[in-house]
Amino acid sequence: MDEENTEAVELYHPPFVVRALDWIEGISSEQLIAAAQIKDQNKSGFIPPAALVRIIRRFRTDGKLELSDRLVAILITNAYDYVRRVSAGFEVGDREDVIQETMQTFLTELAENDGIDWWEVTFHRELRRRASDAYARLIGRHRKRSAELTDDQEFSDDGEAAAALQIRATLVAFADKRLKTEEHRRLFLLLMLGDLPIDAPEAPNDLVRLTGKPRSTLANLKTDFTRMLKAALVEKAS
Amino acid sequence: MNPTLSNPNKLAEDFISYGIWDSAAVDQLSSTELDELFDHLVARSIVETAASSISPNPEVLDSDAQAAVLSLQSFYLGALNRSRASRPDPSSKLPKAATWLAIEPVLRDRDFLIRLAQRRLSGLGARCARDLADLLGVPKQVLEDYFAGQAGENLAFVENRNVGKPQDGGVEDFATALARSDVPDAFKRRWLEA
Repeated sequence: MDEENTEAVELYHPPFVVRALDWIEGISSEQLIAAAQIKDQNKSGFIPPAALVRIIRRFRTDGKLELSDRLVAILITNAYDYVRRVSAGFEVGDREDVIQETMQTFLTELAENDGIDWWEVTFHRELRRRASDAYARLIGRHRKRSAELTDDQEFSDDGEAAAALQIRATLVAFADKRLKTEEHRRLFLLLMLGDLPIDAPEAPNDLVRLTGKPRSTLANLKTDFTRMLKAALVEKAS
Repeated sequence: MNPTLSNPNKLAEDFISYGIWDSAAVDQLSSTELDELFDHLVARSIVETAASSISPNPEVLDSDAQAAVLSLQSFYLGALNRSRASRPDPSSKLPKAATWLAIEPVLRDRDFLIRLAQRRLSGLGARCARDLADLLGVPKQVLEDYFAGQAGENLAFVENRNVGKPQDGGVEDFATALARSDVPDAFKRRWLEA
């Protein structure tokens, strides 16, 4: 914000804010609340959020706290809805972080400043900027976390995971090369790599129930596959 | 290292707003600052792209969202209380010349501000008072009280110490002063209405 303030040379209300501020001079507080609740900007009586920020600050400095707080509730709801729609495509965990951080920055600036700032000029643009700042910090945090992981010796498993990955890749390659039908390849992966037993009536699931094939067929296939693998190993070794 | 040259956020903003890519300055950045620069660019483009394709209609908030809004309201009230606790009484802000000079970048005319602060202007418009109260962030009543001054020292009774100057009682008409000033046209038009 400080950086922006030093650059700002013409920080006064744009005409659409001035018009809204002039218009509300003549209406009652109930009418004002009703107008603030209008969400369609094409409707008559719509108050732009930039003007609403100024109205809230005016009432606040003038000591009309109750009215100010009622208007704040409306403004927060609208701003929250906007930020939520902007970040709708983000990943769920990230989305909540971005929304919270954006809204908290906005509300802190709304609370701490009584004079005119950019919120009273380009409200939605400011919200988007705070959201992208929050998002940039989030990317930074993600990066920091992944950088820390590589240094952390606690996460070493002596290569177990890597070995498992390699075995799996070898078997998949073997199946692709040696087995002719798609069904055999599928059964090969299930029998040789899967954790499920062939036939276990007590367990919640087994391969007989999963594939719909009889136990004997599966057992024979497993023997065949094992023999093929052994043959391939002998072939490779010789 | 020069902080203005190597500020990654500023470099990113310059590129976004004006299309300026200062490759010499980018070369100077450390790898952390480079990360920061690209994070900024990526985040801005993600958010702006997302914003350009949102539906224009507001959504009805579900109960989770309503709960979030309520907690944000209490966050605001907390922030307000914290900032109010450390804030001086608004009426004590005004008599200081520094208060007026803080809005100089907006009004762009120090001489006019000094005349305002010395209250040597008559017929100050209501619009002007409202705008100045907004700019200074003080209640309008405080500003009006300030201009009315103590009994015997309000606008009409300002003592003219400079005997060689025109005998206008030291008071200048607000409209004349404003017309002569460098205050932005937007304010001039607005304040001379009505």
